Amino acid sequence: VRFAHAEWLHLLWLAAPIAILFLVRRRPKVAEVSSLILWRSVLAEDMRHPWLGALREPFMLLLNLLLLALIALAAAGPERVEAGPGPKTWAVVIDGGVTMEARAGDGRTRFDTARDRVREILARVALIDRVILVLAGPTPVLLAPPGPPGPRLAAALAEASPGAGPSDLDAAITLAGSAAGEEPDLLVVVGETAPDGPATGFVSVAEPTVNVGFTGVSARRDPVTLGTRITFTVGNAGPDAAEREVTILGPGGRRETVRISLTPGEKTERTVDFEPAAAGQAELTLAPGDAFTRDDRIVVPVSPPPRMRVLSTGVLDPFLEAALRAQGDRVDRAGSAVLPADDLPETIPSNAVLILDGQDAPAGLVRGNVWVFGAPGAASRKAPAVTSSVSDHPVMAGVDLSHFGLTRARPLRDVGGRRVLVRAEGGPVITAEARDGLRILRFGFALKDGNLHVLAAFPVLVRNALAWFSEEEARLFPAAIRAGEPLESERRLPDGLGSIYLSGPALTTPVEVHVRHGRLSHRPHLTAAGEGMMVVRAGTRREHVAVNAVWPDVNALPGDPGTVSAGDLPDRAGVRAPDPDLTPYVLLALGLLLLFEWWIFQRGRARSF
Amino acid sequence: MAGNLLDPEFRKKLDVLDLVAQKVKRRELRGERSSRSRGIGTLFADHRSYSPGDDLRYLDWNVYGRLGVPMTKEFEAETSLHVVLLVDASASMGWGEGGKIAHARRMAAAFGYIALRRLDRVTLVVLGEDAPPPQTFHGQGQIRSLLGVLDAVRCGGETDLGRSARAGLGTLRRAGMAILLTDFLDGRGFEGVLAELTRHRLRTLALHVVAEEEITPPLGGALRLVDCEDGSVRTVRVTDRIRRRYGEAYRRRARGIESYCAKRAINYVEINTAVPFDTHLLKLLRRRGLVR
Repeated sequence: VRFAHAEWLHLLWLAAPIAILFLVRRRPKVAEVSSLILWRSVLAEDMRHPWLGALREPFMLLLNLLLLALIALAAAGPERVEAGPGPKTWAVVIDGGVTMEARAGDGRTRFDTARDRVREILARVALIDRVILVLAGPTPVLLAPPGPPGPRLAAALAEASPGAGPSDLDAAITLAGSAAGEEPDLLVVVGETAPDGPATGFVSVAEPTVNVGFTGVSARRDPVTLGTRITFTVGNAGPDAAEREVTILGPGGRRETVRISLTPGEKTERTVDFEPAAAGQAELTLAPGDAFTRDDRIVVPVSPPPRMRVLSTGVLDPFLEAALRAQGDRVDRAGSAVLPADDLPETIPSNAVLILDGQDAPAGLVRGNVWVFGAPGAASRKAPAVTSSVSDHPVMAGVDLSHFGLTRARPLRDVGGRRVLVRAEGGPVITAEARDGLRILRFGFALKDGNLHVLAAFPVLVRNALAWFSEEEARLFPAAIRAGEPLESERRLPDGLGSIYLSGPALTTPVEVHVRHGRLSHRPHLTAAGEGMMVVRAGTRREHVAVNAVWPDVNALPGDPGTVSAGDLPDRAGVRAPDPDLTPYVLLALGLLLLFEWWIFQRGRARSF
Repeated sequence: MAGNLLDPEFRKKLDVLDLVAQKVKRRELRGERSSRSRGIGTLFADHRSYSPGDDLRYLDWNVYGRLGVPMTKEFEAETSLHVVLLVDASASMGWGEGGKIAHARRMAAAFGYIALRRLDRVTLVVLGEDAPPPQTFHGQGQIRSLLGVLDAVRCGGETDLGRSARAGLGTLRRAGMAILLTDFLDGRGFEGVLAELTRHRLRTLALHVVAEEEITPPLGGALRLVDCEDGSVRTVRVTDRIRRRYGEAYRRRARGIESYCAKRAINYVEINTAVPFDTHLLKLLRRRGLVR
């Protein structure tokens, strides 16, 4: 049995005043009489069945309460649930994507509307049926396992809330199917967009609305200038053109403002450079905001400048030592070390440079950075004159060699793959070689055989060389992904990377990512927990991935998704009788009941005379 | 109410009763009531056979001439009547708004007025605790005194009608007429006072004074009933059924009193305080022949 107008059951609260009236009536009042002679004789007869008198009043109270209950029940419209051909399984999937937080004009979110629609659907479920409730967030959640309809569903529905990313309806439908153990008889999706797969019904709760938001952002440190370059993308998923003002509060406290105009469906990318600064964060804000507040503001951490380790086979030249020290935090002095010259490794970490003196890079070296002074070459020449130098190489940027002179040098071999940076009489004296993760900077002279180390250009050259060495290789991972999307490598992962870990502001312990055959076998969905800048650590490599609240195409609702109203769904709870307006009859019955109560109360009142 | 027996309005009503009294055949000043004893008088009572020595003035010559048998006429001896007014002054008579005692006072005053106007002797006996001793009034000049004493009657205390009557009538030697004004609400029974009056050979008129609220009490619901005389308490839920049974009990008791009186040649009249006392007096008493 269920009630068509359950609100009338609140009439049962009247039982309290009726009981109070009863108790008030029971309390005896004092009345003086001329004599008790006659009353004694009357009561003597009455006391022959005292239990009758004791039961009379409680019986009257029960009768009153029963009458009240009957009125309330009649008004509530009990309906008998007819047993159908057999129990059926309902699967109700609620869109729990972040866009369900969008608010309509009345201030209610789409998810609130979805809740109401689901309640209407549940009212049509027969008692013998089973219901499964699934929340289709970025990761589907089983709100209520298969079971009969009842308060558990209402409680689960009340506690449900949208997730932080786009909903995965297909996964939710799959989850519902697996929870049911079989294909559900009725599958109803309540949300913004109809599922691709078959469904018994789809109840739409969304309407297109204004939505301009950040669709991508990254903050990267420039390897040469060490400044922060913030690149962001803004998309317009609403139905109308929009103008927005983007305010970027950089890591150094500087504020930049960018005005953009977007047509419906347009996305635009902008870049803003900030001066070098320590690690921090950049905050981007869109104004004015709209229904989707979460993509109107985003905070991006700015990674600290890369630090270079220096490896050597002996004592460094004091001028070189001084120049490295002048680089400050860019050089990790604590991580520097001296290696045995006769047992050099085949792989050097990308954030380290091996400085050799009079010894060329090992032949078996496959990866790493090597800086060779007095590299082996042709026969030694005395005081070769410097004839030319380049300026378009990162190492030579801003390096003035007009006063550079040599007392002795060994011209280097000019072979393919090596870029000649400085040439002197007899051949190249400085070359740069970069191939497959291997970078070698060769000097055909020792620092003491020239005046380079005393020139003002020397610290600049050292800074450039370190920046050239530390420049990141081709990125393995995208600079930014959308929240809820899987993390995928942009290229085949190199062998020997070892385990890959993800860490972020909300991850207390790094998440290990398994790699198989050079591809990520586990594609982690980065959700709200990782929103912000995630760090992908692969061996010695560290790459930053901006995971942002990006919800493009929110309003790309199909014009006619084939929506059905909840009322169009099959009513399994039985045939509902026409709903007559019982209000006047109930009020009349209630009035009569109250009149009856008042009459009893007045009749029972003692008069004093 | 209690103090207005002497007020002009009440006196007017008594004057009406006085006219009633004037209609009664005037008698000798020594008394206006015929005595049961045969003797000298003006009211013919019977004939009897002549006996030597009888006064020939009373020989009925008409009978002798018609029948030839000497018959002597007998007359009722006319004597002054002794009227005893017994007024119940227990607390129950003053219950409520005092309607019962006020009614009783007025009825007693009316009877006393008539009696004194007819030169009868009137003795007032107040029945109740701390009641004043009986007082006897004679002659029209004492009407005002009687009314004053009646005005001073106050209700209170428990009722023992039998004992009070015994104490009040203890010195009474003459037979006469007793008018009892009471509600008969005596826990020891109503028989005591009636038996006492019978024992004194008084021709008794028992006036049962009742208030309408005692016949059909306007009570309902849960009540703690308190007896106004002894303070005893009974808790009762008064329903229609209880009220109905109370009415039956009242009627049963009234019939019991009436039946008891009838067996002892006592005139019983129920006086409802809802009816004006003079109406009672003129209609009820005249209908019953209590007042000529």
